[in-house]
Amino acid sequence: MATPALDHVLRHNAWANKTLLEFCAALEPAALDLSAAGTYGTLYGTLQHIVGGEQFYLRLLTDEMLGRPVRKTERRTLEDLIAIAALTGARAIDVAAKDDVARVIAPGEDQTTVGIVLAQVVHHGNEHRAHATTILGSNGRATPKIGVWTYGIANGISRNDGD
Amino acid sequence: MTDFLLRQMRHGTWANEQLLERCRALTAEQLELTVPGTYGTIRKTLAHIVASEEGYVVRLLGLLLHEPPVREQDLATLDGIAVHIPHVASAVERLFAKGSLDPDRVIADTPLRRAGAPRFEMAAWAPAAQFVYHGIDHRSQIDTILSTHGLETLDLQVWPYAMELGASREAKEVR
Repeated sequence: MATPALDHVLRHNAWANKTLLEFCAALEPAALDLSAAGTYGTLYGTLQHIVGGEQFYLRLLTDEMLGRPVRKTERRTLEDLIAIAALTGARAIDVAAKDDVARVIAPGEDQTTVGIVLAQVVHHGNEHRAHATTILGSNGRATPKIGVWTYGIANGISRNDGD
Repeated sequence: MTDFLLRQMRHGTWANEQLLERCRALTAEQLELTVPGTYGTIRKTLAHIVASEEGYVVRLLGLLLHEPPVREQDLATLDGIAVHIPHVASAVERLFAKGSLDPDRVIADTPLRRAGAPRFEMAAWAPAAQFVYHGIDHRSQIDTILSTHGLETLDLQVWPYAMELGASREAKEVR
């Protein structure tokens, strides 16, 4: 069984996705086409990749597609991405609590485990959210605070603002 | 079974080691490269990752790992940074030596708090989760700096880490 400490890692992941997506949804539409060298792509493309990637990982874990599949070739609204991220974020927490991290899953010819996919969920989200904040910052835009300290404060469970 | 959070933190240490080796192949000038929107130079960012991780595990353990404690501004060279990666790795193992972390255990203070600095009480899950988040966030920035300047980047995802451990592999069908 997963530990409750992991539960917070995954809750932070879901919260950070929601916070970032909502922050970007409040920007003027043209801002979604901003980019920065060395990152994944445009701001919109990065957000779509975060959500689509998590949707893919949850499908590996559960054999279920949560929401309509996110595809690179189709531009979805941020409201749509927010809704899918809410589903995948909640489901990842549920999987971590109930599934066996050592359970082998074999998509195609590749073999991995529940634990590895969950770890990748965390890695992937953090990495690409960093790309999104780099794009915003490098274009002189304000960036949302999406670290764990802020998650703790936002949820009324911590008062530390970082050290 | 290995605790999941322990695996996650080990992945962070592994990624730092990989990144350190990549940085050793850079010139002194390349280590000082940066791009807007990131934390700072490559060297400064790597120092920030490692020094912060020491800070998180010191808070979790309630013990200094060494005297004097590491401060980010002291890590001016890769060799200086390299010394502290095993400190973090060892401290992570000590954290889990008796089993899973109690996430709700309240940590009253950190031995690293400077005189006159405010004291924060926090549940143990907070610095543990921050450890995971913080490393990925800043390693991603180094990746951005490298690729922006046309330098080779690394794949630091969980997939190659799992492959290296044999925890993820191509399944061979037996006929």
